[in-house]
Amino acid sequence: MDTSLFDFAAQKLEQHTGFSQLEARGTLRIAVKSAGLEAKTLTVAELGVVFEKLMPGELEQRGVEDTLSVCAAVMRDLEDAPAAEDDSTSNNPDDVFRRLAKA
Amino acid sequence: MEESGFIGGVIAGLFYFAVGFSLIRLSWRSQRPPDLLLGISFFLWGLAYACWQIPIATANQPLTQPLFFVGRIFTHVGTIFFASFTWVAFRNHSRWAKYLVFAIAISLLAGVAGSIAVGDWEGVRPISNAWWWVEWAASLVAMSWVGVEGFIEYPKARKRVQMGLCDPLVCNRFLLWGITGVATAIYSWILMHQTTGFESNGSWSIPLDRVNGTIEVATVALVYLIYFPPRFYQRWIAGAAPAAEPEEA
Repeated sequence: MDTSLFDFAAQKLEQHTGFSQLEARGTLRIAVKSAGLEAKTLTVAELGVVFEKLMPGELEQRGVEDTLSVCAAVMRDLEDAPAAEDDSTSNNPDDVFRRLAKA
Repeated sequence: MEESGFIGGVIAGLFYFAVGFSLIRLSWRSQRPPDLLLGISFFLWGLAYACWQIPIATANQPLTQPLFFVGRIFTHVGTIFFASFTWVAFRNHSRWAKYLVFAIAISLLAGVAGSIAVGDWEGVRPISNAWWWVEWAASLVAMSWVGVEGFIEYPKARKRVQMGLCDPLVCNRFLLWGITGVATAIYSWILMHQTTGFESNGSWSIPLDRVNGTIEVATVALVYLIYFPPRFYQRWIAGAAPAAEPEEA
């Protein structure tokens, strides 16, 4: 089974919050969707924004204390995340449609 | 064909030819499949328009059937590349999207083969040639799919704009792409009415030709805004974009 960036981040969230695997993945999926992103094509930079701007609120709603330090800890872990495949960033809709105007 | 329809076809043909060529050049630099797929698609549509407009402009009867047939092939192959672009750009990890592209390709090619078998080389006999409908439905699905993907991606992109993850102009391109898909699907629908009318009473509807000529020019304008957005348009979109959320303190 290949580990995606989403799986990696969910695993780290689980470690830092004491959430079950299901809770961690579900919370992360909700935050990713709220940011208009796809779990399958996430990049480290996008996940960083999710943990900076959306995750503190999501965690607070679920009774997690000191949400900012939890998010900071996951963001630190993301620095060691396995590099996302090159393909995931070059063929995502944003990149494709950004390039269009350069033709 | 009426003059407005002819002019619309010439404008659309030249435009698709030029944009297709520049996209193929872009793909040479970027080495990215979506750029190449879309470039080939537009380039083939440009060639298809030439195949339709040349016999009309020259009123050359012997050339009409062979060029219309070649134009039909260019259109369908272009549509297959176009559907492949939609798959790769919007649904790269999706199995159903891959099967949908295969289904569109098989239906278009089967439709042409069936039409040839019953002698309808130009694809103008929908009443007596059931294969015509296979082609038409596949083409309609391909074009509608483009519109649907554009409209699905647009609200998601608006959220990304708020997060500071997407350029407002890129976000706007999804909306324009969606509208282009819908406009092209309407064009296909009108063409179906025109073609059935042509077979039943032998005349090409002038009002419908005007509508389709207008849609062709409108589609070109939309694609122009996607590829070559003028400065005033860029400023307008940047000003209308939802503000990015402030950083957490």
